[in-house]
Amino acid sequence: MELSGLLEQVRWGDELAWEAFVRRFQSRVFGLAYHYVGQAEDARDLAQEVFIRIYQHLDQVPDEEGVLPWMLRITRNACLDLLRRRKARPPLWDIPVEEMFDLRAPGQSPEEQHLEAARKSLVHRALQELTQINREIILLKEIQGLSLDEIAALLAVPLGTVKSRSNRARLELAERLSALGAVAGRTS
Amino acid sequence: MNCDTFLSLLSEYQRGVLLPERQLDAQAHLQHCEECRSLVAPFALAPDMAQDLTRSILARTTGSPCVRLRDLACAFVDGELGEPQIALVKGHLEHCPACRALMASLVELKAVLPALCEVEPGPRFTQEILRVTTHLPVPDPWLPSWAVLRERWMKLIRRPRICFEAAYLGTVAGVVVLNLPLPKLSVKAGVVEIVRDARPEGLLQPLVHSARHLVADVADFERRSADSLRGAVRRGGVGLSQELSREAEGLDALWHRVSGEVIAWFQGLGRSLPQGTKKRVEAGEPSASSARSSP
Repeated sequence: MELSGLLEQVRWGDELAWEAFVRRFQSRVFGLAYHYVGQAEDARDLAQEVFIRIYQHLDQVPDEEGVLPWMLRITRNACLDLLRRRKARPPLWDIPVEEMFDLRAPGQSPEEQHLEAARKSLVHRALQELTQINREIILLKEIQGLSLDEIAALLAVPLGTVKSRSNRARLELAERLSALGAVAGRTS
Repeated sequence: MNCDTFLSLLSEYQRGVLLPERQLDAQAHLQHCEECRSLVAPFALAPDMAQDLTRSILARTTGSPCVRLRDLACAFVDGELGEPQIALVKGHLEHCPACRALMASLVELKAVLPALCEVEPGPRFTQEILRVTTHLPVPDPWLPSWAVLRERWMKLIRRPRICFEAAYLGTVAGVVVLNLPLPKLSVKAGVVEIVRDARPEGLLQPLVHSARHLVADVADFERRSADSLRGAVRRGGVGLSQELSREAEGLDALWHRVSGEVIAWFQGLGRSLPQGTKKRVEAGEPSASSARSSP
């Protein structure tokens, strides 16, 4: 079903349309939340909270082009709130990176799936080591695929800053990944 | 590695651009093969030495080219560079293991990052959301919510004209609140009564009255216009005739004066001429000079 028609039905409170909407966007919202907060349980709670918030404001759901940036903005704000709370009261657990990324990959053998998951875990860990702004730019541009204009509006920073930061963030992440890969290669 | 393979790689070996494992193979072959060693011997600079030399020259001139490569690395991975720049980047990567590792990481990130976009939250996630949202009321799409109203208000006050509109409204409010005097409307006596009675004949009568006045005004205007035009023509004609008579008198006086001058001149001329010439002039005969000039 086309997104515009789905959104129209969702606005009118159609339960089936709402279920289709949740299934369509849940992995995007959860993925962003997971990369922000770095903990699967928190990310799941956050994603749930985001969808409930969307349901309570169905009359404000934008049109087809604006719906994804709008949802990502809500998700980001919820994540930042959680991170702020966590900063005030740090959690007792460590970030369990390897628990996720057991993604569905029907064409891959178990060994390939394992390698893929390990690679993604490594990238995720490298992401967590970046500075806040660089991580956000990587999350929104390279992972979520937002345009530079959308990122500038979302982060409330000038477009030039996003442009200049984008390449720097990628290089920083690549260097972190190289370093982590070397460490992982030595330890394995 | 045999001699044929080594010969095929000789130029690359001399330039120091062989891959590390091929480089080791080539060096191992050279240790055993005297013939190939004799080929390489004239080029006294070994690959390692060539690398060192390049590095030291760069260190004393431009500095490390790795900084420039970092500027171009993302564009190289994204395929946004032109052919000459691609060749330069590849040339640097052949010699710089650190930049090769960085580039490999960038290439890997380009493949891995988009795949991180979606992470499955688990099989029960959708059911949990649906369970929670089933009990929540659905907002009426016809009624604008507080947020929508707030957004509209913000849009309204962000317009550039809002200052003038606010000033106008403020002035009106000030006048009303402070009971400032306003200019009174001038209403002719009798109009109020006519409107109050509001009968058809009562409303028609002033209209007929006004129409009569209008016709009389138009006729009066025509008459006055005609009189005015006639008077203007008359005044204009009198003025013109007076002007013309004045001009004629002036011309008459001028003519008398000129003719008097001419007559006096002729009389003076007649007195100054010799007797014979005078007679000829009086008889109408031509003079000697005029007779000479005429054919």
